[in-house]
Amino acid sequence: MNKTITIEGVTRIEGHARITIALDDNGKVSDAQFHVTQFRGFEKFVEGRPLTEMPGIMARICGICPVSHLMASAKACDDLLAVDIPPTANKLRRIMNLAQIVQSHALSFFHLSSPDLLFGMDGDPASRNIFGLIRDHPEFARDGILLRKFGQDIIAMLGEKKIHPAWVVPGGVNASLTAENRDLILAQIPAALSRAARALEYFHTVRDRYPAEVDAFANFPTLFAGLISPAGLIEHYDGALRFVDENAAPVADLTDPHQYQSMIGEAVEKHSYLKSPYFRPRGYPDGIYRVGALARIILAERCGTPRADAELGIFRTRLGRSPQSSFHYHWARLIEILYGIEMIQRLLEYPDILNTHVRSRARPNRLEGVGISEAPRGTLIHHYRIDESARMVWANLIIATGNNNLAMNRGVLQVAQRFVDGTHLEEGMLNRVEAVIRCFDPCLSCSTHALGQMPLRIELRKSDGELCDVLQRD
Amino acid sequence: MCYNATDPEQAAIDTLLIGYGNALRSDDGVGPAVVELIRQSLGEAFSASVACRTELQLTPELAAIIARADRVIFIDASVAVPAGRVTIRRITAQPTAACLGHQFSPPQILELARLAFGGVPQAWVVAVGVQSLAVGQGLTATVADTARRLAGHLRYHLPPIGKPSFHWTSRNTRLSH
Repeated sequence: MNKTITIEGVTRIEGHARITIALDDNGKVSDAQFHVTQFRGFEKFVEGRPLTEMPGIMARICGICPVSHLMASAKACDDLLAVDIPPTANKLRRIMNLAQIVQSHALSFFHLSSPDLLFGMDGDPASRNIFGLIRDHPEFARDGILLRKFGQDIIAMLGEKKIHPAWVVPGGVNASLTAENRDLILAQIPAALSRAARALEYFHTVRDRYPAEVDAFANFPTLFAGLISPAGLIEHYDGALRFVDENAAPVADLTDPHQYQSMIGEAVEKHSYLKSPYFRPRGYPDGIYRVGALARIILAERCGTPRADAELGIFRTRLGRSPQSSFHYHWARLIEILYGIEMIQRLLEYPDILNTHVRSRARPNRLEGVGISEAPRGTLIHHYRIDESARMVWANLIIATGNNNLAMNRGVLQVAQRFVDGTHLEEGMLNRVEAVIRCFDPCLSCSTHALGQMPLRIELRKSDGELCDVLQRD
Repeated sequence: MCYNATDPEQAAIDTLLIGYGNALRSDDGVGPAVVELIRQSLGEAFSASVACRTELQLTPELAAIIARADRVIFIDASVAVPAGRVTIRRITAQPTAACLGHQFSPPQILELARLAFGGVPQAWVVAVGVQSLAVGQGLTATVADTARRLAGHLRYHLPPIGKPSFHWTSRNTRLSH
């Protein structure tokens, strides 16, 4: 008789989700789905608001990565104004975006995923959290907190607050960088680099402990997508949106953001509020692709900074140019942390970084604008239409996590088929189902975030509703 | 502004004031409002011994600065306290493996500071009863008045350099006019 396992309240991810696993008569997994159970609605309720409010409103989508939405929204508004922002503003936006990536990756790796890596997927759930991590690996945990602080402090120095700064505006930014704050950030670079290097050393001691997970954590061929610089370097703010195949061979480059819908279609499934974008030329669902840190380092020729490129060399020597397992997102995030710190230093050392001309002003010159940037979790697209009075009439958002929706669903199925025994539930097997989702570091609500242990109840029921087994975590 | 860019990373802090809450939800912003009032009233004599932070929520990186403080005062809005009233409660670090939201509670962030950085400051939570948590900026008249008097009260007890620090006991009080 068919049965369904429900994981209600997926833990240590950003937001609320549920996983259901269907079992056949023999207790084998026949299907699995990742359900995002919350509804946001920003695309609808911004209608009628003036475009100047868009960055401020859209930043409220997320409490963890508001800077990402600020960037994509401001770029869409720049497009509506039809302005080139001042070069210094471009650099300052890049610094804030990289700071966001550093702090977000630090939270994902150290706080959310490291407990699994350091204590094991079957480790005691009572210790497999941030406090357990601190007790057993205090220096590691401290580095994680301070790397996140490094990113948050930069955001706060530039934008006056670390959550929902109002500093990024259509046409540029609303305040220049002071010499004092530039020097304060530069003074923190060496320590941040040391912490990132120590994290990589730690990671290298544990990464080979999980061959079964590497083999089964969303390990299948897909396309990868992300921004790339004209020189083929990793890019987070501008450039072309490139799709590559499973061998990292370029499939398509999107150079005009207005044409994104020619490459990306958006499917809707009944089981989730999260849309399922796909690469349109290959159709749905064959156009499955992945975005985020792993995609970015696969599609880029190199990072363009010395330490990150050295680590990328180790990564590629070990795993090849295009490893398909999503387990490797963890390593990719650490490489991007290193890259982010190095690039922030490089940008701060430009002679014009203290220039006070940081905003271009104009009235709207177009009725349609698109902004694309890279959030920590992947490519983020904001598409706006306004009327003649510069009020929003329509918006479409493709959120970074949504791009990975198809891959997350397939990944959940792959892990469940590998690890879940439908006749008897164990916490460790279901933790692996959650852990594959954590590899993608999804940001679902973009406002509610969970770390550590959330209450979790998994029920195994027959199709007639009879309760077979229960796993409870309070 | 919530960020003190000149705050030296390693300097010890006598008293750390953390006001937290969402200033876009009316009285929920009373904690940041109180700390901002205190910050504006502080003179040079206090600048090295008192640190003021306004936050939307208690995030893990705050553990680093909390660990450097001798005492920490968390100022928060509360629906459990009648509007206009204030409770002051002594708290200690509390280990927990249970549900952790993205906002740490004061005992949890103290535990993080203890485990990660070895800091064990004395700590209090000052909870201000709210009247409205509706969407919008600005405090209601009742809570704004409480915030002003609470800021004066806390300011009075802040120790200048070299002076002994205050000691509070737990109490529940209505601030007198």
